[in-house]
Amino acid sequence: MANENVPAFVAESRLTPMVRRRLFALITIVLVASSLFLSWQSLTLFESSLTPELNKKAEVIGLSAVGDVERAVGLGIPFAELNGVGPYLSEIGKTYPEIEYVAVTDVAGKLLYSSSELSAQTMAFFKTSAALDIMSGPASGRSLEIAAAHNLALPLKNDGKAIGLLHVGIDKQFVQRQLNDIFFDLVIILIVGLLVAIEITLVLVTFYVTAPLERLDRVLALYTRGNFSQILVHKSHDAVGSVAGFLEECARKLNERYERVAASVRAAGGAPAARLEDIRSRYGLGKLSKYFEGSIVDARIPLFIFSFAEELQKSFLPLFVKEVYEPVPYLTEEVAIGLPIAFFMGIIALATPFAGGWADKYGSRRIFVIGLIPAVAGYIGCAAATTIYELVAWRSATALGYAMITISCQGYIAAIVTRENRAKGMAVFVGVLMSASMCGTAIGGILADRIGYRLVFVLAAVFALVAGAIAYRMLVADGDTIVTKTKQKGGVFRKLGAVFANMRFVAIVFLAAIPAKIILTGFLYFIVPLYLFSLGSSTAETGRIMMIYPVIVIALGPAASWAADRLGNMMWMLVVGCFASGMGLVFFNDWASVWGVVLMVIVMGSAHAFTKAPQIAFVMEVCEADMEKVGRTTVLGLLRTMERIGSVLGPIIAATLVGIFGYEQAIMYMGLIISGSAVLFLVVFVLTARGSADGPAEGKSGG
Amino acid sequence: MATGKPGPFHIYMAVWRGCEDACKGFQDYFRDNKIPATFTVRDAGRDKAKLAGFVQEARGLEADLVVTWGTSVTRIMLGPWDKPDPAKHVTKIPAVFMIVADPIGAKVVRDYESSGRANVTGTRNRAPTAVQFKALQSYKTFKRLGLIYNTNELNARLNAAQVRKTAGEMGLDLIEVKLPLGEDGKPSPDAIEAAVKEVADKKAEFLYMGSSSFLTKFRKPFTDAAIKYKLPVAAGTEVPVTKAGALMAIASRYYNVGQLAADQARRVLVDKVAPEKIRIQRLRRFSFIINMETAHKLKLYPPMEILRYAEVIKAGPTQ
Repeated sequence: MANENVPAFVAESRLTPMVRRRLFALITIVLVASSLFLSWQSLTLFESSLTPELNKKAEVIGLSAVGDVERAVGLGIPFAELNGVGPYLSEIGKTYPEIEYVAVTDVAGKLLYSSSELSAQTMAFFKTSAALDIMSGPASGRSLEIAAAHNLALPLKNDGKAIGLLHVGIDKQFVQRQLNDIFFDLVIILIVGLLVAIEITLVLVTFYVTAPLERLDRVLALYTRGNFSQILVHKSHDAVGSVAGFLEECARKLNERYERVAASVRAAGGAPAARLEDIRSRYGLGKLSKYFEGSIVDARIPLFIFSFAEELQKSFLPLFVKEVYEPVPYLTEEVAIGLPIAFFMGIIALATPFAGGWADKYGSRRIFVIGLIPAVAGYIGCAAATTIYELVAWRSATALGYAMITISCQGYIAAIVTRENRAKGMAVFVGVLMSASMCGTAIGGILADRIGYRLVFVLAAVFALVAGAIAYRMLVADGDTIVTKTKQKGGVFRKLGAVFANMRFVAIVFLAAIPAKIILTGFLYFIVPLYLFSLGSSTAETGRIMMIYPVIVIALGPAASWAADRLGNMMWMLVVGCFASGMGLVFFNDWASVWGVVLMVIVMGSAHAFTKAPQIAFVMEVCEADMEKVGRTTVLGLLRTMERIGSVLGPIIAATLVGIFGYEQAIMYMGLIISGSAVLFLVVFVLTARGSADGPAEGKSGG
Repeated sequence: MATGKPGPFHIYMAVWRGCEDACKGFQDYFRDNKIPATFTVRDAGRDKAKLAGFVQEARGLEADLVVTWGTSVTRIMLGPWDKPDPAKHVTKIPAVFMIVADPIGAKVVRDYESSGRANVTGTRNRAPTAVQFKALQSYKTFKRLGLIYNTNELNARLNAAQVRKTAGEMGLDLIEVKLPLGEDGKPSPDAIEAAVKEVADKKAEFLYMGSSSFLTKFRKPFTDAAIKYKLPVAAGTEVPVTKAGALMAIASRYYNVGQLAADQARRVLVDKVAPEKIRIQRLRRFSFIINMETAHKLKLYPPMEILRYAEVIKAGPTQ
């Protein structure tokens, strides 16, 4: 899953940064300006059209109540002796959140019945002639502004004679609240639009302009050095294409000429032949090959779109599961609801190693496209699912596809970048996942509010297919990404055993890495949507709040690396970070408000931003000896695989706690578990440091 | 609709007091669904003596189906489920009964899954007692419920037992008054007012009128006495509300019951389902029927919520 703290946009070459910076600035200015203008327009438009809409609705509601009251009076029940009018009006008030009160007065304006307690001021208003005149006045003047509300008064009649008025008070704050919601949605759409626009422009510019130019530049550099062994293949008929064509022509002619000369000279043999051989090797003649270079950006858009599709469900999946929930034998309701997330994480954990192997063997593009089959089937299945079992099955299918697709992109990037660039390449990979997570979660929440959970899944399927089509077009053919694996030397498990004998590694895995995942999947992915729903939040709001996490992780990424470099002490950063991530949950769990959740997510996101890099660095520090034996990749791979246990356990632990204690207490206990494991982590390290005074840890800086 | 026997069906309907709503609902169903049928309607006019002749007549006419209306007609013409007499009862011709409040208590059927007889099925029309009492609570919350019944009718005794049970479950105080029986073993209409007064004196808030042929017959003096002592009467069937001064009833409308019975008849005649295999059904929805004239007299007006879906009769200001 997307969870690293590396900035999303990493330069690939020396030509692009300049172009990119200017483009970013330009896009940002244009987009922000146009979005602000549009938002302002639509907000004013909305405000001016919402108020009359509300009035119309209040009138419909009011007229239905008028009908009921008039019917009762028509049955001969004295107007002042109507039975159960208060509860009846209260019910109306409860059904429509925009209604502040409904009240019935007699012809003198005396209050007879009302849905709730009214202020003296409002009751006095009922007796004013402004109010009473409405009984005989025209239908147009029935809406009046008073301190408590927009008041709509409707005449009550019996046998054509006025008997009183029914007042409907429309909540003045209601319009403002609606506008706030829309404002937030617009801000989210603006941010996401900006990110997507930048992402796409970046890729297009790189793909069509800067990358070809750079290739041309490199081929020219080769030629300048006198190496004519390679030609640039560029099919499009643009400037680069024609230059490349010209160069190719030259190189070919040169080679042909060489071949012709070579043929005649070879026949002669002797010293000229040796001289010729010298020329051949010096200028790389004789064998012309294509200069080709894939680029990291090739995988960017497909990966971004696919992860975006996958993240759409995040803000509402538990709510959707709850909707189709039926009792599952041996499990509490909460745990059953956690199952789809747990299975999703579990399948990813199990499938990723295999999928990695497949991508190496059959090529990234092929595995990406094949991975779409289970992924898309999973989305369609979820859209149509009516039982919890179906949801578990279909989410598992998507998980298999997700594992295949993400690992194929990772493999693609790994195959293309040079060894030194690998960290950078992975940063791009993780950065894309993170920004997709941000965009997908927020947009998915907004969409779910408007079109419903099921259609969002259908949309996810469509996006995934689009990602597949683009991947097919942009990724280089599979031949270039197939990795001929060096055969695993035997005894790999014995070596892994050695890593596990390292108490400190085990402590990092079980007391820092796994808890971090538990809080992520258990709290953020499982509890937050359900808890916010119980607090009355819309899925749009839930999406916004969940989006805070990736935003913070991305935003604090640079600060975190800076801090890691300055402080140097990875262990303490890790301990403090883990501890803090849990403490947010302990401190704010009893607020019972959306802002409490916001604070918890902020604290957790900040803590994770500061622990991710140190975690890896610290593992490398602690496992220095092991890495020499089994290799760095193996140790880090082991950490990755092990921490997925936490992803699977997270929703199950959270669900069990929620089932026993309810949301607020469960959040607190989760916080205590996470912070507690941080304390335990510290204890283990203090003890082992004492046990081996000459050990590599003990506050030694990373270096 | 008609897929089985082509010709028009001949349906013999035995009714107790004219072809009222259930009888009409039954016939309308066949008309509305275009099932060809001819009806022979025989009215007993509240005379049990006529019923034996009806059985013979139905046999002689070779009717395709017999419909019986009310507990008395049904019991006498169809006989008890466990030992029907082929000489006196309808045992061959398929029969559908309706407007029988408690068919198990009246021994017309074995249970609600099946009548236990090859040729019999039918409908019941009483809302469950708990449903009725909850509806009463929504009209006006109360604690003390009055019940008057006569002990010489099986129906009335069974119903009283049911009311006792439900009242206990709902935590209501039940004020039971049994009508005294005369030397002939029957209650006298003259005893009604005293019984109502006794219930009123014991501060009952509602008077429940359950299943009883005797009280149904003397519903007018019964409800008049109740109004005199300011007691609202709640009934389990619509008749005391529509034809006398009971305040309200929570019951299936007879017209709808007739339609339900007709649907069972269709299954027997058209779909060829054995009557034995057809459940003794009742409607799932019940109507809240309110006598507004009585509401005025008692100054006990229905709450707005109930007015929205209740059927109000005798509306308009009184006198």
